[in-house]
Amino acid sequence: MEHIGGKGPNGVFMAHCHREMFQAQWLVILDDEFLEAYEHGIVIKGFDNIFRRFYPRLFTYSADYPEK
Amino acid sequence: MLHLVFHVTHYTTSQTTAHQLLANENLDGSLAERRTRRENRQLPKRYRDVLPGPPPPLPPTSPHMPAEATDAESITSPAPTVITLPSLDFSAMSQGGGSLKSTRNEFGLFRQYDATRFPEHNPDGNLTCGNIKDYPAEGSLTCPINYYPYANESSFLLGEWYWNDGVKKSQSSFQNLIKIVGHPNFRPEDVAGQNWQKINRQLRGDHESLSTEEGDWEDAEGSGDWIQTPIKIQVPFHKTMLHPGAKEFEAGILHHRKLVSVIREKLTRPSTHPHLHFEPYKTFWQPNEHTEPVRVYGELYTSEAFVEAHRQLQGSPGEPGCDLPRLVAGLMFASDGTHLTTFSNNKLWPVYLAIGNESKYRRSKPSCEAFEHIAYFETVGCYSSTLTFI
Repeated sequence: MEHIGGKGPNGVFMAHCHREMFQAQWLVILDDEFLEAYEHGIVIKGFDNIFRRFYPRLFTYSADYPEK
Repeated sequence: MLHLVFHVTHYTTSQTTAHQLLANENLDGSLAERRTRRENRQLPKRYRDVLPGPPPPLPPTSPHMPAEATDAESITSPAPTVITLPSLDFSAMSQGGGSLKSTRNEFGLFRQYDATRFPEHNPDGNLTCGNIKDYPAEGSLTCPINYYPYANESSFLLGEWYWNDGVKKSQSSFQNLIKIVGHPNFRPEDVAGQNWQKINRQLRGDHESLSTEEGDWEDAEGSGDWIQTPIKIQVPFHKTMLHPGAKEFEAGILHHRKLVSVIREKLTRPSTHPHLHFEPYKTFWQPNEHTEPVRVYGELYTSEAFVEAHRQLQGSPGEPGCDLPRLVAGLMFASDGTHLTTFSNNKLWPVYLAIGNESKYRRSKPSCEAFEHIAYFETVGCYSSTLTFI
C-alpha cells in the first residue's frame, strides 16, 4: 500500500494487472515442450498400433467475458 | 321430353347413394365422431423428425481396427440402432480433380476427401445411436455394475446384510440372510477369501491406512501430472510514487498440466482413439443428381480451417528421415469462471481442452469424458495477500 500512496488501485491499473496475469498464465500453459510439438509434431502410437506424427493446432478458444 | 327423363333418372341415382351412405355410417356415435377425417395425418414436413435409417453397406472394417474397441462399445450400447452420417461406400467411389467422393447417403450427404485414397481409419464405420446418445438403449442394461469396495454381487449382498439389517439378530434378519445365501445367483466361491477387514476400512473412508498398506488409491495416477508454477507479473507504479517504475510481483500459483502429455494421453486413450477423425473432409448435400452440391458445416474436421491446416501440413517439408503420416490434432480450448457454492465467493476458473478430431456428438456427451482439465487460472485480487514483493 505504501507504494501506491495510500489510495486503492483504480480500474485501469487493475485491468492491466488482470491482463498481465492472464497472459502470463497462458505463457506457462503453452510451454516450450508444446512449441516444439507444434513445430515438429509428436509421434504417437495409436490404439491400432500405427505410428502417426501429430501436429497440434489451435482452432477454437471459447470463453465468456471475464466476470469482475 | 327425352331431356326431362334424363333428369329424373339422375335424381333417383343420387338419392340411393345418399341412403347407402347413411346406412353404412355408425349412427350411435356423436356428430364429431362421425365426421370424416384423414387417418394418416402427419406433421408439416418442417416439424418432422426423420429417424435415421441404415447407412449404405460398408466394406469390412480396416484390419487395423482392434476388436477390443468394438467389444467395449457393445457393452455400453447393447441394442445398437445404426445412425446415418455421411458414410463411406468404398465400392462406388468417384474420382475427379484430385478429390475422392463417397456415395450419397439417404439424406443426400456425401464426403469429399482431398486425397488419393480413402483413409483406412474410418471412425463412423461402427457408429451407433448409443455412441451419441447419453442414456442406455431401452430394455436391457448390460453394463457391469460396480460393487466397489465389494468384489462381486454375492459379497455385496452379504456385506449389505451385515451393516444394514439391524444391530441385533432377529428372526426376520435370519430369514433375510437365508434369502441371500439361498438365492440361485449366490456363489459361495465369490464370498470365500474376501478381505472383509479391508473392505470395511474402505467403506469407512480410511484412506491413510489404505495408502500405507495397499497404495492403490484411485486418484494417485490421475493427479500425479498436475504442476504448480508461480506466476510473476510486472506491476507498474506511477512516477509520483515513492518507488516508481515496474516491480515484479508473485501474483499467484498456477495449477496446470503439461499440454503435450495431455494431448498424448488423449490421442492414445483406447476409448477415444477409434472415434478420432484424422483426415479432414468436406461434407456436401446433394438431394439428387441434378442439383449443385451444397457445402455442409458441422464438425471441426469438416471445417475449412481444418482442411486448410491439413493441406498446409502436407505441403510442408516435414521431419527429415520420417515418413510417418502427418496429421493435425485440433485443439479446442474453453474456459469459464464458475462459482463453487451458492452462498459464498469461492470461485474456480478452469481451462478445458477438447480434441476437434472427435465428433461433437461425443464431445458433448459427459460419459465420454472428452474434455480435459488443463489448468485452473488464478486471478489478481485487489488486496490479495498473495501479491507480495519478491
